[in-house]
Amino acid sequence: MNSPKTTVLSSRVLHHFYRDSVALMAIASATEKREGVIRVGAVMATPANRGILADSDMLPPDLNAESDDLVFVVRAESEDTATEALDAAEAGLTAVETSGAIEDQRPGTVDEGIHAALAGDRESPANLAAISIAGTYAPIVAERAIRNGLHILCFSDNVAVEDEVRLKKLAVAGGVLFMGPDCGTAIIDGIPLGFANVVKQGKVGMVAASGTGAQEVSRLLDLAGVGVSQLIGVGGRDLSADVGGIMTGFALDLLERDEGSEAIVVVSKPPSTDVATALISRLEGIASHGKPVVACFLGMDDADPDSVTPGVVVRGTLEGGAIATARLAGHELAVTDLDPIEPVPGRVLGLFTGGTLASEAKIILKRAGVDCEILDLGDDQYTAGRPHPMIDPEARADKIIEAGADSSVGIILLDVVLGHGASRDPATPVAEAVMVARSEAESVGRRLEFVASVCGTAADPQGIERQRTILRDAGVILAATNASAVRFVAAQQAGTHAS
Amino acid sequence: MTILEPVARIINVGLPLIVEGVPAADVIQLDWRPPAFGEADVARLALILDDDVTAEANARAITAVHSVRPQLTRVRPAKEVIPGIADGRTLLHAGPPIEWERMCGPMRGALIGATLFEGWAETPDQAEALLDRGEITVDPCHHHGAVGPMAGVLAPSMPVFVATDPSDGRLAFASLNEGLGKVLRFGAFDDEVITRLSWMRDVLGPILDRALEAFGPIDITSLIGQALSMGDEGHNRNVAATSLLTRRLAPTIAAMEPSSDAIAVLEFLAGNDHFALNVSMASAKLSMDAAVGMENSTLVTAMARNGVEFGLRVAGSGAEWFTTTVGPADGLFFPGYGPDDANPDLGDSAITETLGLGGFAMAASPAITQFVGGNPDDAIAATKSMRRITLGPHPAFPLPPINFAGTPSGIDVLKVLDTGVLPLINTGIAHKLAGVGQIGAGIVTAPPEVFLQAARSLANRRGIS
Amino acid sequence: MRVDTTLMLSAFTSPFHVVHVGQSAVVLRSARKQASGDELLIISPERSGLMPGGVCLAHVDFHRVRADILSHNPPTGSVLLAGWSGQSAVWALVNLNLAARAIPAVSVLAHQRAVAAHTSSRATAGPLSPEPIRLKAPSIAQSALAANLGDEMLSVTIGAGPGTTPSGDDVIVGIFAGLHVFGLLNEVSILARQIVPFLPRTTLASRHYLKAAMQGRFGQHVHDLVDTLAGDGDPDLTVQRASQWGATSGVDLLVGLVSVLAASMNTRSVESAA
Repeated sequence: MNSPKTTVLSSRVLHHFYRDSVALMAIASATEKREGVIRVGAVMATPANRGILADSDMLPPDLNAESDDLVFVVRAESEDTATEALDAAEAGLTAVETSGAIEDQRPGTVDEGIHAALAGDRESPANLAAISIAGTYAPIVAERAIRNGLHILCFSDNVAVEDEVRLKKLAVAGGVLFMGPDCGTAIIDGIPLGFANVVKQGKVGMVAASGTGAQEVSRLLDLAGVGVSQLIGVGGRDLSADVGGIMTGFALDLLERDEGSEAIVVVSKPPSTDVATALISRLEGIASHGKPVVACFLGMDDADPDSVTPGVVVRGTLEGGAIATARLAGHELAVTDLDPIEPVPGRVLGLFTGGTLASEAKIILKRAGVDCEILDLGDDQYTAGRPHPMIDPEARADKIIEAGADSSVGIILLDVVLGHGASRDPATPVAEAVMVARSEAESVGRRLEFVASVCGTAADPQGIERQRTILRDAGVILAATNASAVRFVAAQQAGTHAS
Repeated sequence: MTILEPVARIINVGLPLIVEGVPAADVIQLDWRPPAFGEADVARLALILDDDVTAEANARAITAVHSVRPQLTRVRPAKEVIPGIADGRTLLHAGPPIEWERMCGPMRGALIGATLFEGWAETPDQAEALLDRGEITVDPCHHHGAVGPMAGVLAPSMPVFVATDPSDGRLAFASLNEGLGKVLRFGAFDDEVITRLSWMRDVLGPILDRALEAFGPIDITSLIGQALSMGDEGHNRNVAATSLLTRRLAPTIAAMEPSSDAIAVLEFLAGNDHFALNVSMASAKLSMDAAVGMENSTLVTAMARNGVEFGLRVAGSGAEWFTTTVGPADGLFFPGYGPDDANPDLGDSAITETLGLGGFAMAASPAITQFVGGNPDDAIAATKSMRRITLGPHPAFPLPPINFAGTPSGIDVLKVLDTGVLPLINTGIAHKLAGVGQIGAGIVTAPPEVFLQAARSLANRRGIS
Repeated sequence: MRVDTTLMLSAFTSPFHVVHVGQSAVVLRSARKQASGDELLIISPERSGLMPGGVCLAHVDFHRVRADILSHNPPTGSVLLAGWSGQSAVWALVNLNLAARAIPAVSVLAHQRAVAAHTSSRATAGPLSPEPIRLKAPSIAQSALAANLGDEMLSVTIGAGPGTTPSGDDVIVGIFAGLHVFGLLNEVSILARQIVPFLPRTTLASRHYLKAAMQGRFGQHVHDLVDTLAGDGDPDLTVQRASQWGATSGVDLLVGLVSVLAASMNTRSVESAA
């Protein structure tokens, strides 16, 4: 027979602690099986139960507990063992509290998803549906989600404009956002959705009808030290005459009321004339109530409050929009343009993955009177069955190599977009293609230069510095912003013509 | 301002890439498929139909169905109790309506047998000639409050189970099960078959009826409920329900005269594991009929096959059948037979699935899963998948393997369209030639087309286009 | 949505404190000034059935409400039920009074054997075990019927045993159920008078169920147990189903119920056969 060991009695009182008794029993018996634990009691501290504990020599002498308290008692071989057992039991009880019934089948429909959200570990209701299915079904799925009070991010395109209008009206009536269709970028409560850069949280509220436009502005604000409160995408057609800016208006309502948004920037192509008039007066209204507003309408003439449009700053480029917004937030975004290099003969070819970045390039080069060919490789005519070039950079690599053999081309303008959703390493395929194209050109005695900007932040999953280094090592000339890269090219071309 | 209160929970429909920046625990990724089996116009109708009016109608319909407590009250000759067959020459068959010319082999065989049994013809050729000339009316069982397994042929002189709704006196009927082997329901009509049918008419029926009169009505719901906890699923496995039924009636029957008949009846019950199937079917029919014609309801009230077509009826569209061509069941075949020998799916027995038994209650019956190729885990998964398309658990049919949750009950057309999950039906497989009999068993799914048709019709009735 | 008929409509417009958020029930305590500290509202999912002084919600709605309450940070603040009623379309008021009815003696004896088999096969001792109390159930039942349940017995029964509703209390609730089933209202009122002084010796939730039981109101799971006893349900199945209710509560309750029915048949076979 073993000689009698000394044992210790340790207890913990959990005040007013009612828990699922099945779980409580399971945890108690698990605790009893621990090495060095002799006996466990887990009961409500009623007078009768104190009696039962005393009968089995399990009543802590100094027990301070009432009937509605749970007392967990452990008799163990050592103080440490007892404490560890109590810690484990308490942790187990807390874990039980936050767990729920787990659905064993993957939800397949919006309704099932809503149920799963409530039944799952987090037990918090679903509040947004991200939709990226075929455009035929997107309105059906979106309508179900809106009826259930969910905000929508609709990445799907090919949604009929009548559906868009109907769903947006339904969303506004239900007090939820309908971001889309064809909305690729949003940052809601600091959570990046779709193609979004990792930018700091801050005070600027953004409403964007363009994806890469929103990315460029938000990442430049980040560079200036200005954070974003919300980036609400509205879909490329929202400011068209057909849709009439329904969602832009709703997003502005939200941001106007939001104390966390101290300045607002709207990023879009120029709105249709009817919509523009109403929108500008809406923006003026917001500005006149003390919340400064920047309208970044690509291609519009810059204007400041005291001249044409009182209260609203208008900028025609993404970079201009970002600088103006940063200034309203009390920060300066200094963009240092590159020094010119020896003029390059040949025409300018732009190979873009970001649609709005391509538009910005076209606008600046047109203003500078430079002939150019700017391709948006994300456009349907180039993707045709392949993933978007921001996801799969190989398509553009082929185009770069092709251009290497085109003797008319002197400068190739590129964008490299980072952030969530984008390729894990977009720079490397570009760098490799650049080297192939350049050696092809040089083999026939031709000079070929590459100019690029990287739309990204240090916090992006790809890391902007790593991506820039890869490009720089391949001899790509890097500008700070897309606009700056374009200006550099324009200056070079002007130099070519001058010489 | 936070937009996503209290915390972001995002349902992702489509590319995982879209939410790669969201903490995984906050994402509910859907296993999404195009709704309405890819028919976008029907998906749109279904979405419009899925409103408060439908929800309220469905709540009423399923409550009505679940409130029925069918009692097995009598066993009477069909012509005495089934409306519309007492006069003239009428035979009933399984499934949606079908003309004699288009019927499959086993159903033609069964009708010839029933014609001989009624004495309307002397020889099979004469019987066939009568049927060819249209001198015998054929009509679906379902149009007369009745159901029959496989060919489901009911003749006026045959004894039928009478299930009664004690709350309002409604009735439903089913034929008496003949057992396995050469039987009418698989299209056999030789002397052995006719002799057995005559014995059932003259001895089995009257004795069962006397026993019920003496013993009192039997609560079918509690009989089936108990059988579900003993390994039956109420469609393809009926050994527990048959045993329970026999146990109840045996003492009464044993005391009857002549004792040779009583013994023969008890021996017949002892030798027929499927005897209670027809009781289960009559009870399911009575329950589902409680919802027939319930305006705006999308609850399925009947699924039935006639060997050529699959038919579906929905509460909100009353007597209308939605039909489509049906294929043979995919299942396990008895030695010597294969898919080429199989008749397209047949019988009214899918009324059990309509209520939530059979394929829906697979979890209850580990034995049956082996028979149709699977294991108990598959059975539980099958039952749980049926939850996705049903209005709720049946309160009187708890299934022990799923913690006594009720069997999923009441198929909702809209849920079928939204999830793309089709009702599972346990079924026997008949040989395509009349009279060969059962050659296998398996699980079939109802065809998608009938649900698409149903949605179009329901939308039309609501004035939705 | 099913609602106990005794629940005041004001429950849906006045604030509550959260007492307990569990998997099978959410327990709230009225925060109205004039309310006594013991006024509880029990919200349960369909799976658990309606409880006295409670509302029973569809599974989904229960989880929604539960999530709603958990999202209050800390979840012990006050909540308002207004607006919840819209979540379940169908309302039904349910009377939870347990009516007198005939129970076949055969069924009681069969259930007594099944309960005994279940209990003995799991017999353990110690503070985590409900067995010591269950073993005492027959003598508690005898004494209750004889209207001589002493204070000594009550002091070691009320509030004794594992669970947030301690086993001893569940046994007593079962005994009350049995007395109501046999219509022994005189015994009910005597037992109730004896128990009242001991109520402060148990938990808030348990007190709630004991008080309801004194008034003849019981959760739907108790009604279900009585139904199986009255029908010819399989006794092993009844025990199995009772064991699904809480960790020990369901079986504790069944033990109390069966004990008092059996004791009553022994001593009053004439009356109960009527």
